[in-house]
Amino acid sequence: MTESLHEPRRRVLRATGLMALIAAVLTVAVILPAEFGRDPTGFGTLTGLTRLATVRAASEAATSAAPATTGATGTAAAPGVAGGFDAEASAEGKALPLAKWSNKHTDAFATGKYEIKLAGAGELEWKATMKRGEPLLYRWKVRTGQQVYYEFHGEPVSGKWADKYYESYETGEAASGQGYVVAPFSGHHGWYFVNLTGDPIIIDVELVGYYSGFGPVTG
Amino acid sequence: MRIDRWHGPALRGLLTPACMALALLAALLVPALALAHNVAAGDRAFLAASTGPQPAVYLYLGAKHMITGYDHLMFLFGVIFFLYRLKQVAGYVTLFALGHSTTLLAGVLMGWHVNAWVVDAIIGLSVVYKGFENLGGFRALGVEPDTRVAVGVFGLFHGLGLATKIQELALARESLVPNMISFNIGVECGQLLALGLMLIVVNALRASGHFERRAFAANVLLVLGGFLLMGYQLSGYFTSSTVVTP
Repeated sequence: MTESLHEPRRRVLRATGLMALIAAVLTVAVILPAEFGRDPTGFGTLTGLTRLATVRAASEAATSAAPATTGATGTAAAPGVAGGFDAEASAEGKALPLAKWSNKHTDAFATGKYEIKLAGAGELEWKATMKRGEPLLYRWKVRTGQQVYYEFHGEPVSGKWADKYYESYETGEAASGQGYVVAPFSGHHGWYFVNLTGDPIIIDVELVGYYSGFGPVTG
Repeated sequence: MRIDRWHGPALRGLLTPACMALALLAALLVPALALAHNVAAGDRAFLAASTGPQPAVYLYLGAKHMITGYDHLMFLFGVIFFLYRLKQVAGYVTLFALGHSTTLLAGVLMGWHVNAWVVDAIIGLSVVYKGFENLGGFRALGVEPDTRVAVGVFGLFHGLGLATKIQELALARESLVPNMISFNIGVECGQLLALGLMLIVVNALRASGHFERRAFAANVLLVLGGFLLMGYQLSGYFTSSTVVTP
């Protein structure tokens, strides 16, 4: 049998009750706003703890370029920050609303074909520079047909955005993909690819649109 | 007055060097908080891109999970708190290891998808339970649950928690069993390492005199920590219920 203390019953029960009370107060006033972005007491807003959760959600979205997480233990996303095109931002950093958009250009659109070489189990990011509101049509395919993990996303280059803010357009595992994006902000837009096989692969990418400088992102 | 008697020793106990050592240990674990309940994104990226048996990798990840898993460590700390003889320590730790290995292996093999928030809240409860028992709470209430049964049963829940973590790694089917066993062995290695540290801390507490007072303060803190873990996990459970999880 394990030993235990021989304290007066009242003392033990009072101490345990007090600890439960402290934990309950801390959970509601501190943990909920700081970790989950919920603030029933208003204490989180008062002390700035709620911002901890919202900023973290945005920066985690930016660093979660690794394969998608599964399971329920993930971080709870703060509503309206990392998801959707309605991130809080000043006028300069405001994302383009999803509306009909027409634009006349004097310059010709760009086209290009690219080969992305990925080492076995390697990962790479290739991005193009695009201005807010400009379109890009794309098509990519793994030459030998294996699946890769990809995340099609964009990062703003100017304006007031949350630290490491980025917008994820599409993510998944596939051997090919096609579609288009209208840049929700001026910045770098492109793909993060992970080679899920142990062998080197080549991804052929074809782009049409108003973009420039499609290439690997270093560092 | 009773209140004075109650507050005095507890507060003084908190300030003693031995308890500061405890606090230091807790502080050392703080950087690990971010890691404790998720497999780090980088680790996941690596695992997604690798196939086949990888004993060293999974051994390491299991040990890392245990060393940075403060909830497992708090429970273990509670379990060994009043164990004086190495034989007793070995007995209880084996019991705990048997418990969590059972559900870790069964959970992964049978693909149980239990809610990680709920399991982690129960693990928090196990910490409260052990702290309360150490305080003599059950004796005070006139009930004497068998500690061995409690350690074994809570061990099962800790194993479920471990199972949800290893499932996050999205193990490849072909080498599931060897990788899972490596992970489990890693967990035990990490546990032994942590246990060594804890025994040093508890023995320092014991040798410092006034052990009872400090034991009271330490276990009250353990109860608080357990309640906080429960609060955190239940918060996660209730706030994430609107989020679709696979």
